[in-house]
Amino acid sequence: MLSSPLTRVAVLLAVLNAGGLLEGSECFPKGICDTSTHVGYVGKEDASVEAIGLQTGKTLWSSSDASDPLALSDGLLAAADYKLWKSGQFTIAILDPRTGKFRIRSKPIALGQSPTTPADPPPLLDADFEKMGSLSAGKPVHDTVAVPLPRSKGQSLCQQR
Amino acid sequence: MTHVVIVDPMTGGVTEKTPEPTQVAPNVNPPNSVSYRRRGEWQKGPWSSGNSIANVESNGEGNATKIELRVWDRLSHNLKATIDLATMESEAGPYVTADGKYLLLPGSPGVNTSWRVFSITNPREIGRALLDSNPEDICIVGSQLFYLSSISSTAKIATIVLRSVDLDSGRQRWEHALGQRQTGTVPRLPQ
Repeated sequence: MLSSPLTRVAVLLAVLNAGGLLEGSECFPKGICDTSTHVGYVGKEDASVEAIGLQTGKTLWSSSDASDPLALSDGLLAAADYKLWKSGQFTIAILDPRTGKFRIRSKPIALGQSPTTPADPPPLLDADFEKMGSLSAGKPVHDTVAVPLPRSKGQSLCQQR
Repeated sequence: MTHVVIVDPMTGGVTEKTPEPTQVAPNVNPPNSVSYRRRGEWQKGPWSSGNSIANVESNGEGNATKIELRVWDRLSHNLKATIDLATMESEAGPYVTADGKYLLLPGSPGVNTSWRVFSITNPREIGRALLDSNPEDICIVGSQLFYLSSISSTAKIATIVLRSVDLDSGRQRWEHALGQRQTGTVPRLPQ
């Protein structure tokens, strides 16, 4: 649970994608999984991301470029990186879900608040890929309603779809 | 408070967008609702999943009290199913997956507890699974159940393990260590 009176905040994160959207992404503990390839993507306790075969539990790749897998699209895995969280910022790293290869990192995203103690967890993020061009003015960025919740350290980022 | 951030994966560019007014669902919380755990917190009242709305409710009084899972059609509000969950054998309480698609009910507490698994979208019991004590972050994908368990290494350090359970057999298929974590707090008891 939050150990300081940080404002409860939720972030709806839309990652634009010109390619196809993935239908087979599902909720997974501390991450997300792809039912079409039978791969799960999890955030490890050392703030890295690991791809795991759903059938075997074996590690397929790992990456220290991000810590929390958030959303999956055709050929893109968006994951949050909290290395800047001490200053109240985080970035989104885009990885190749097949290899874990780093592709690009977003500019730092600030929420206007900083953790007051090292134990303060990062914000709850609710992210999804959106088809490029679908974010017209007046159209909601996200179909789901954000539920502002505090997030205890290590708690799931499973998304409601 | 909600921030809306748009990320362009080609350039890394970030755009903040003025959030739409949050749609707040009417607070329909039947007085006989039973608390359940979801997303690491105790909650009470109906939740939605796809075309269904579900709730865990108590029915009757005293020793005759029954716990039921009730599922309605989201559009017509017609009752689709009432599933008798029998009496609560464990103080752990029902568990609803983060996506709202499944409800799990623990049996008698022990080292390995047998949990009954119910589907919300196709309201019925779909299997049973033997889980470690205090499972967290339960998700179901196809015929596999995944969850996190915590194994104490010292008084303040625990190893977090991701486990997979086959819902057809109810047995663990594999486990995968995710590293060590300082022991945190457990969710508050239902109020």
